Parts: sequence; structure tokens; C-alpha cells
Amino acid sequence: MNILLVEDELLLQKSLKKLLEKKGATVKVTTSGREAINMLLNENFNRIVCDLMLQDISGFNVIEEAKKKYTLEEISKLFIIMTAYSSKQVLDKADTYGCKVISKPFEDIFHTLSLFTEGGLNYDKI
Amino acid sequence: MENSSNPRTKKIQKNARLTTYLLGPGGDTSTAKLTEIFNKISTVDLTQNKESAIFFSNYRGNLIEITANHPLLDLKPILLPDSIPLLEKFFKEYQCYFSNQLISTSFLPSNLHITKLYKSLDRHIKKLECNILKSKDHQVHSIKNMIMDKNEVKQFLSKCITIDDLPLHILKLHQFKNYKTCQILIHEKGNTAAESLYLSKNQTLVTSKIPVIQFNKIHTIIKKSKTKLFNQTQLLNDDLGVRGTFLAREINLSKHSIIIVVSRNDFFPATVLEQEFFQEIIKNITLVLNNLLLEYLSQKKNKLLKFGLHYLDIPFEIRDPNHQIVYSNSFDTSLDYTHQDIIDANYTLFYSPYSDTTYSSDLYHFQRISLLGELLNTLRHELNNPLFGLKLTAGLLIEDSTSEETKETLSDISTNCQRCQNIITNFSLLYKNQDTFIDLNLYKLLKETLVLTKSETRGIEKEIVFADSLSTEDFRIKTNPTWLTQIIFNFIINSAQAIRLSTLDFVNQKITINVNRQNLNTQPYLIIAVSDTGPGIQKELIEKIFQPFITTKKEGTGLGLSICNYLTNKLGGKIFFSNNIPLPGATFSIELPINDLNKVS
Repeated sequence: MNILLVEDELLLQKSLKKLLEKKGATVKVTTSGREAINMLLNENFNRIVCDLMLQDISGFNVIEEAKKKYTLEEISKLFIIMTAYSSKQVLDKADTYGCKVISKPFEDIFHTLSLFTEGGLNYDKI
Repeated sequence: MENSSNPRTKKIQKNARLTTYLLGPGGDTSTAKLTEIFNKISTVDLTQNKESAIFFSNYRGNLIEITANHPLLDLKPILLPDSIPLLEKFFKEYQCYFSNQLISTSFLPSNLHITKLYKSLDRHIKKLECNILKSKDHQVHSIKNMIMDKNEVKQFLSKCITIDDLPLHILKLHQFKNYKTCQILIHEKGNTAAESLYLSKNQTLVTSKIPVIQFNKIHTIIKKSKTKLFNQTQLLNDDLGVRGTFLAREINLSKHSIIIVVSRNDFFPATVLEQEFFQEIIKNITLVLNNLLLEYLSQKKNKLLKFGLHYLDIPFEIRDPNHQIVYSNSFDTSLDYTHQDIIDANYTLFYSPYSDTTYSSDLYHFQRISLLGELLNTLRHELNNPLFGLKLTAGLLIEDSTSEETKETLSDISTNCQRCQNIITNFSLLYKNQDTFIDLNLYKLLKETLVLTKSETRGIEKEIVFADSLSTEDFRIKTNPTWLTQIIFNFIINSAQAIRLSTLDFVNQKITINVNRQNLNTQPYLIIAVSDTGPGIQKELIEKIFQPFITTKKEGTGLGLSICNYLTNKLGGKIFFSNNIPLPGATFSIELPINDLNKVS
């Protein structure tokens, strides 16, 4: 499974990368939302785990850009949003994309990891 | 004005003019006089065409004889005095109903006495109106339906919670369903301007102010009118939003003068029944209008407080019933949580001529407290992320590490990260202004609160004691955890600081939280008391202890206990204080009403 992890908290990024790799996934990482957009347009990921509050742009901006390449249904399978600010507005907005939202800190790290590696976008079917 | 949706108007416009042909000898003085009179009557035109004229008019002595010349107006000759208003009224009523072709002759009394005629005419017209309404709407409207019964009035008025609702509810009445606009002018005696609430159907309420001179002019005209039926020419005034003919009525209350105006916005005059109904409504409205106006005034006051106060140059503050300041306009940012409360409770407005120095100390603290909540929220989010990363990384490294010592250290890091997260979460919960009451375990809450005070109470013995009758571990209480924690937290911090100030040796020092239950007039109360072994409160301060800005600490804000007092009130409880005479120390306690969830067993 090819995963793109967009997270600007470096320790978190490193740990998550390691943990996901332990589960057998191929993980690419970035701290920048703009870079994430470039990566997702040029490469085919099965799953994009994206933090909402990035240094440069918001995770929602990344999803908006992804619309150039993917349908809304594909986006809902591809993206999982992570956020420390899970307010109602954020949840409502995420709902419009049909994406899962995971609150940070994770309540159960193993459950969250399996969420990250479950499902995802299957390119064979496209 | 062009009201195509009103079928009545259309018909009238088609053949609106009534015409009369002057009978009589012709050319003599009586005809000239008759011509002069009819020229002044707007509701009927003179015609030279005898065939097409609807009425014939003729002088008979001092009276004018009017005969109908129309197949549908089988009218016996009527004698009317040559008074222009009377004639005007006579024709106007025919004008209204002529086109509906429902005029019958049965209403005419046998002996033509003028008052009898009018009574009879009136009755007949009412009957006709009913018929007209029936035929128009294909609905069965009886006269009874047109006049509100008491229950209907009650229902109608109960819908009006504020005076702003009134125009809408008046227009919603089925008796006024063809009416397009309702305007209410309110003048509070002594004010230089009156308020206008103007509602056009399906639009939002427009409020404006009109000068009192204009208001008085309108008021006087309406007061003098007997029919309360007007048209634009009588009351040509920009301040009235209505057009065409309208019904208006003035109401005088002890503190207010009110004018209520309704209109269909066309030139078709209101029917007698509508007029009567309007009067009926006014009669009933008067009863509750006073209350509505008082409500309106307080609403206005709140609006002013909420939006206006901020821009005043004069320093003001709002205090709650306990004289605590909840709002001050001296800051750029107001305290968010106060806004809702100002509307609900009996808050008072105070002029606060603080000198610059008081601003910078007391009020600065006050502002700081309000910022604290915001700050904590930001802190929580900003710290949670890196802490989470730290914890996760430490956990991962433990697995990779081979040295036991490193593993232990990493485990400590992980535990401490978790602790930091818990503390931050607890603190930010403290400042969340949630109004929800939940069922919770009191012992657990008190223990958690003690954890929060750990640094202040370090070295001092602490104990939570539940009375024998209460089950300690699973005693449950329905309350607001945030507020209760904040109160107990403040008590404990105060106790700890008092002990610290009096001694450096904590061997015999102790903070005890006692929980007990009491029944007062069958209502069970829970008493939570925090006692310490400190020096107690000085006599001269005892009276003022819950007032804001009273402090004995160098760095204190003087807000702790006043916030406790405020929060206890919000919990529906009471706050108490006593010195532990003859023992040293002080006891702060709160008394909370509880539901008997916990059966004494």
C-alpha cells in the first residue's frame, strides 16, 4: 500500500511513518501542503493521511487540489484527515468530502493505524 | 396600489363610478344647488345621460330624494338631508357593494327615518359582506367567525411574545388575510422620537424612528376620527408606510402612546366588518400591550447594552445581581460569556469612573482572566500535538532499545507526556463555559481537582472525607463539572496559599474536603466543605470576602472567591465561609441542592 503522510509535527511524522511501515505500507512524507499537492498529482497513492493545520495551507486546500485528478468518490476513499481542532465546522466540512476525520491525539493508536491502512483507493479498478 | 391579486379591487375599477342624473324642473336654483352638492361628493359623478345613470337625485323640500335607476338596485326612493358627508357615506357604501350585485331591497325600513335607515343599512351591509365573503372565498364564513371569541383572542395574544411579533400576528389573522401591511408606532412619553415597526407581508420588519411632532400630528387626526378609516389624502405622511386606505387606531397607556395601522395597500375602503374587527382587536390588545411594551423596553435596553455600550466614551460596567462585574466597556474585547446572561438576569448598569491607575491594575486582571480561557485553549492545541509526537516516539524507541535503563527512561518520558496532556485537558475544561449538567462521580471529580492543585499543595496533607451515610467511591451528583471543579480548585488553592504564608513546616498542616448531606425542608442538600489549618480570615475582611478585587495576596487578582460565588449561584447553590474557632484555619463550603439519586443505604 502506497501512503502519503502529510504532517508538520516532525516527531509525529517520523513515528507514524515507522509504525505504518511496520504494517507493511510504503510511506512517503511531507510537512508542506504545497509539496503534498505536487506529490499527489504526480504519483498514485492508495491513501493520503493529511493533517488539517499545516504551516503553509490547510488540508482542505490539498483536497480541493486533488479534485483535479480524482472524483469526489475517489477522494472520500483516498483521504483521511487528522486534526487537533475537531470542531463542528471542521467535521461538517470534512463531511462534504466524505472523508474520515481522526482527532489528535489518537485515542487508540493501533485502531487508528489499521484505519489508515484499511481500504484506500484501488488503482486497478480505475 | 395596482393590486391585481385582490379580485374586489379589479371589479370596482371596472365600474367603480356611481353616477346620478338630476331630476326636477331643471334650470332653477334647486338644481344648481344640487349640482354644487354633488360636485363636492367624490363617490358619485353627475351625468347628463338619463339612461345610463345609476341613481336619480331630486330635491324634495329640504331633503334629497334618491332613486335607483338600475335593474339590480330595486331601491325605493330614499330621503336624505343635504349633508355632504352623509351623502358621501351613503354613496360610498353603495360603491363598495354595487359591483358585487348583491344589493337587495329588503333592508329598507318602511318608514324612512334617517337613524333607522342607517341602522338598518348597517345590518344589511354586514349581512351582505358575509355573503360576499362566502361567495368570494368559497368558504363558509359566518359573522361569528369574523368576530374573535375570547379564546381566539387569548391564543392570538399568547403568540405575541414581543411587540416585534405583533404586526406579523395581526397580519396572520384570517380576518386580515387580504391586508398587506401593518405598522405600529410607539411613543414612549417624554421621548423626542417615536419608534415605528413596519411590516409588509412576506418581508422583514422595518424599524425606524419618527419625530414626535409627526407622531403627534398623526395621533391627533386618528383620535378625532370616528370611523378610524383613513386614506392617504387625509393623512399624507411619509412616516406612514401604508398606501391607499387604511384602518388606524390610537391607544393611550400610562407610559406610551401607540398607533396601530393596517392596510391592504389599495384604495378600496375597509368593510364595516373589518372595521369592527379591527376595533375588537385593539380593545383586546390594549390589555396586554403594556406588558409587551415593558418587554420591548428591556429588549431595547439589552440591545443597547450589547451593541451600543461598547462605543460609549463614558466608562460603564454591568454587574450581575451579586454586584460582580460581568462587562465593562473599557476593554476592546468584551467577556464573551456575559452576553447571554445580560439578557436573562437582572443585571445593572453602573457608571464606573475609574481613574487610570485602577484601570491598569484591577481591570487589567479582569481582562487577563478572560484571556486566560482563550489562551488555555490555544495552549492545549499547540502543546497536544508535540506531546503526542513525543509520546508516540518514546513508545516506539522502547521497542528498539536494548538497554533496560534507556527503556525505563523512555517509559518515564511517555508517562510524563501523558500527564502533561491530562493536565492541559483538565485545565482547558475548567475554562470551557458549558452550561450542561451531567451525572458524575463526585469522589473522582474531587480527586482530579486535587491533582490539578498538586504544585500549590505540595507537602501538605490532603484528605477527602465523605460522611458515613454516603458511599464514597460511587457517590453520584448531577452538576456542572467545570464550575464545581473551579470552585473546589479555588478553595484548595486559597487554603494552600494561606498555609504556605503562615508556616514553612507542613507537618501538622492539612487540607480536608468534607462531603455531607443535609435535608432542609425535605430538599436534600449536599455540603462540600474545604477546611485548612492556616491562619484563617482576618475579621475586617470577613464581610467583603466574596467581593471582587478583595485580596490579601501580593500577586492576587481578588477574583477567585467572587468567581466561586458566581459559579455557586449558577449551580443553584450557596456559598459559606467560617473561621474554625477555636481551631486554627478557615472553612469554605458550598451547599448544592441535589436530587435524591443516591439513596442512603
